[in-house]
Amino acid sequence: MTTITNTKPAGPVTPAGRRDPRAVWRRRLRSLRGTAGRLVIVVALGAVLEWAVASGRISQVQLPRPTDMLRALVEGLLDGHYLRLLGVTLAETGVAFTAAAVVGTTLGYLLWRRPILGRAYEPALYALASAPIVLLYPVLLVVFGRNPVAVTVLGFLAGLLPVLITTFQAFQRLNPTYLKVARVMRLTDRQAFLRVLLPAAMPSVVVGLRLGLTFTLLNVLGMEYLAGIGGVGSEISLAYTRLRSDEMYGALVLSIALSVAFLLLLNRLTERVMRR
Amino acid sequence: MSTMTDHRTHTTGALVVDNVSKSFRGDGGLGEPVPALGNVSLQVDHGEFVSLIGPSGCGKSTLINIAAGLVGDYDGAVRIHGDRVTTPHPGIGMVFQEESTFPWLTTQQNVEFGLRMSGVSAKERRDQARDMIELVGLGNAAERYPAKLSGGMRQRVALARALVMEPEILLMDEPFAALDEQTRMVLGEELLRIQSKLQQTVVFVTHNLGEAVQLSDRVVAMTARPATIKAIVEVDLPRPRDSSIVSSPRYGELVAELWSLLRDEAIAALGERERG
Ligand SMILES: Nc1ncnc2c1ncn2[C@@H]1O[C@H](COP(=O)(O)OP(=O)(O)OP(=O)(O)O)[C@@H](O)[C@H]1O
Ligand SMILES: [Mg+2]
Repeated sequence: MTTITNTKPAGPVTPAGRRDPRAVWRRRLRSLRGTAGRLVIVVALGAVLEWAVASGRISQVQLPRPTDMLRALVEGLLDGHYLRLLGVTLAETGVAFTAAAVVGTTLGYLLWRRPILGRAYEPALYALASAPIVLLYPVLLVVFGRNPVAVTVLGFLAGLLPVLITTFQAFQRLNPTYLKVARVMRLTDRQAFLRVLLPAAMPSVVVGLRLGLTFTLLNVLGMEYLAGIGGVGSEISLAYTRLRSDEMYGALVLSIALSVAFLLLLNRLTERVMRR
Repeated sequence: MSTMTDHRTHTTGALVVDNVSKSFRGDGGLGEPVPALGNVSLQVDHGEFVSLIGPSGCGKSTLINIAAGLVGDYDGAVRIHGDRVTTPHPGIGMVFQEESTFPWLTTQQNVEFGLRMSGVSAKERRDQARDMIELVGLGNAAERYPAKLSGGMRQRVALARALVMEPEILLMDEPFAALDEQTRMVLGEELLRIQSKLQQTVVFVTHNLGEAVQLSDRVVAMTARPATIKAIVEVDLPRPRDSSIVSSPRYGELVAELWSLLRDEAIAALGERERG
């Protein structure tokens, strides 16, 4: 019942493709096959490592057997220990990132609205953005004490700058014709912001949010590790000092899973915004 | 003879341009003022289609932007219903040369946009937008996003978005300049059909002399910068017109007449640009 003649091949985002149920199934099948393929690669790699460690080609201290690693991971998950760690890291990252997103987009917008501020602070912002924020951790420990609040503040600071800068740039690069359309249609300031400026800037802002989340997560895990406080990061350093490489790798897998989960979440978000 | 210097004496035009001048200051407001418009007076009657032609950079966009209320700071007066225009008048609609459709909205949503912002109910605006989309010949692309439309189709969306607000005066700044010749002819024909149906007053900027003759009741030829009115040519071709008039001898004569008016100005403008 295709009513629209589509000159492009029916990809997953064409309106025709979205409506045709067979195309949807074909797409699911294709992505399932992709996932299965990736899984096969991971399992095969695991098997090779297992063999290398078991046969003594790699020392157990450098790398535990993948099966031991998995066992540590599963045990940690089952006795609730890892879940608690995950909970702490997630909470720190979640609060830090949300704050960075809200404050960063607001400040980025204000810098654009007030060009005098924007011009005054822009160079300083770029300089700050390339500074290694994680080195602030001793300061934060002194100010906030050895607790997750210090970690959260660091994560917030790390995520703030990329969000702020990309938001500022997104507004700077807005198509000026959109602003003219908004004015000729006599939109109120509020309407112009919510209905024109924001959606127009959104694709670039989302890029900033992705960057911000990556920075926040990196710095949260990094500070947990360095200061031995909080969740997954501190567990890695603990296992490391105890020479428990199975636990260390278990926690590493956990942190990787965490970032992959965040990434997938962001991809979803990006897809929704970019659906055009 | 159809050429005459315009000093009409009506006082009831839809749009009255009374002795308008405008200078821009270069270099962030510090340089020498550059005059863009010099004492332009013009009167556009209700339901009239007037084109502005003139060498590149002479000030046509400046004039139309002043009429749109996008440039508040100018000398003289542009009047709509007797009021001096300094901000966008509710009775105007505008179509731009550059891309102006919102990429985050479908055709339907783009056309509904202005109605939605002025609080028209969902059902009403859906129906009105539907009718307008049919009228501009996009009936089967209503649910598509601009990225999936050709340049000509996007310009139709922009036209429909302006027309659906039923503006008394439609200001168009080179709306078809980015389109190929055939699309331009077809869209011109459609614009005429819609304009005669809706009884709109149109001010239309173009570089295309043929297009000016095809569409207009009068063509205003402007001088090189600062733009003043050099002559106004009445187009005495019968209406309703379609694109077949391009083969009539009178059409050819009128285009030749416009060219003879513009030739010296175009050369002057070119010379000025080469001097810097
Ligand atoms: N905002 C501005 N600031 C400074 N100078 C400007 C500004 N807008 C226009 N000008 C200058 O005013 C003159 C007229 O510009 P305008 O855009 O009105 O010309 P135009 O006739 O529309 O040209 P074109 O046919 O190329 O579109 C140009 O010399 C341009 O450089
Ligand atoms: Mg122009």
